[in-house]
Amino acid sequence: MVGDGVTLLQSLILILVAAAGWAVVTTRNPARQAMTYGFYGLTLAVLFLTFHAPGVALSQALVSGVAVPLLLLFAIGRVRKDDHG
Amino acid sequence: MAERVRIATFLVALGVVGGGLGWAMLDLPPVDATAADYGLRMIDIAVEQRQTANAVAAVLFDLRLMDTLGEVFALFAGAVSVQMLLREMEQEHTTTPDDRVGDRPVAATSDAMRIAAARLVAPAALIGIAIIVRGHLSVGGGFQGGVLVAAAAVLVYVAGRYRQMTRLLPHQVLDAGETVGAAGFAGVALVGVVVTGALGANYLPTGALGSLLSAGTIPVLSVLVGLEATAAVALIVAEYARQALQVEGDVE
Amino acid sequence: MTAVAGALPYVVAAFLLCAGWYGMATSRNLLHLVTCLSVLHSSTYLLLLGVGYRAEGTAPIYDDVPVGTPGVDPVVQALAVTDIVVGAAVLALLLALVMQVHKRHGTIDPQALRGMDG
Repeated sequence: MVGDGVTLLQSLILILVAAAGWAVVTTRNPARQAMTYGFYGLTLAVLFLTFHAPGVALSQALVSGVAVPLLLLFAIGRVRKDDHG
Repeated sequence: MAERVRIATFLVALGVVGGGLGWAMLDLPPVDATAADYGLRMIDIAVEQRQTANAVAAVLFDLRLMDTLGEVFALFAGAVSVQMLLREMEQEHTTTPDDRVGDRPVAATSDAMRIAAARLVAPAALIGIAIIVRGHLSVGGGFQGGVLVAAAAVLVYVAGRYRQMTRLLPHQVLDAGETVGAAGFAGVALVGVVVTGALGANYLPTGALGSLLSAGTIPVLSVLVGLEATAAVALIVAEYARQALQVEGDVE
Repeated sequence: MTAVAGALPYVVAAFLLCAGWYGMATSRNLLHLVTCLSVLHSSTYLLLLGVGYRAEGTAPIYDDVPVGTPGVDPVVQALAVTDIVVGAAVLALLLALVMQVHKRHGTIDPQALRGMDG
């Protein structure tokens, strides 16, 4: 029952996820951050696939690859509009 | 200066908490060291008693239905709250939708992008609907499919047609869809009390594993959640788009 | 080595939690802050899936694998799906609040928002 558990591939993707998460946090420009966040979400989705969780991967890819960056960009648009206008 | 002190204090605290947390994590039983009997039992029940190939859907829409009921209402409340928070204030005015942000027109989408987006609308919507309807058979379910159908509507916007998007998704229809989805979900769960005496009990015939009409109430609930998720996500996105493209004016 | 590799998902989860905290505490823009909160939130998905993972298990979906094959824990996966959807709803609500703060105060720098008296 006790095994290695995490494979080399999973370890590599885990490290990629950690790096992408750090990149999201340290990206201070919100518009660019929306893009790094989308990438971070997709790395998480790939990770979930390797953890045998395709359903979770699908919702993660759709939510953080599409929905969240979209909402962020619209919110940035609303906030910027008043700054310039 | 105060800012620096604040961040320094925070970093010390983060070091203590994060270090402790990391140390505690290393002390956990390693991944894969423990067999989760509860999870294995759930798979057996899902496949043998509920004739549901997708054990995750069986957990979501049957075995642990109460969690999902809470989730559906959280989504419902989220969409309603976003609309309430962003309702037009006295100082604001809504302009005609013209795909402009402030004085600047939105950067024109390239033709290739428009055509690709327009071509993708129908397939995305169809795949989304398939994911919803086949929730008990294969990967996904109401939530995933619902987000995908809503994303298909957004592709209409990427195809350069903000006005068409708003006309395609009138608020009244989305509001109705959201209400029917959430109320229907609760209703199907409540009927279980009448039929079997337990909230959320699966009281429809379970059929044969792998056929479209099987798994009892699970596909019904998946479709209702799909409706709810589509409507909620579309409502939120439409409200955000209206804020970014149509509403102007500040309180200051 | 084995112990470290076996704990890697948990350690990465702890790292993402701390990274989110760090970003939120040092943030000068509420939109940035909300995104960092979302990174913080995503650490919970890793923790959940790490707990349920079994190396010899298959995905708990029996459409093209024979019934009876051991699967990974479907309960934590259902929890993770719930988690992701609720997280998105919370994020939408928070971003709406940020837009509202900007309308009322003209800024979204948390440092400049002195006295939230409206």
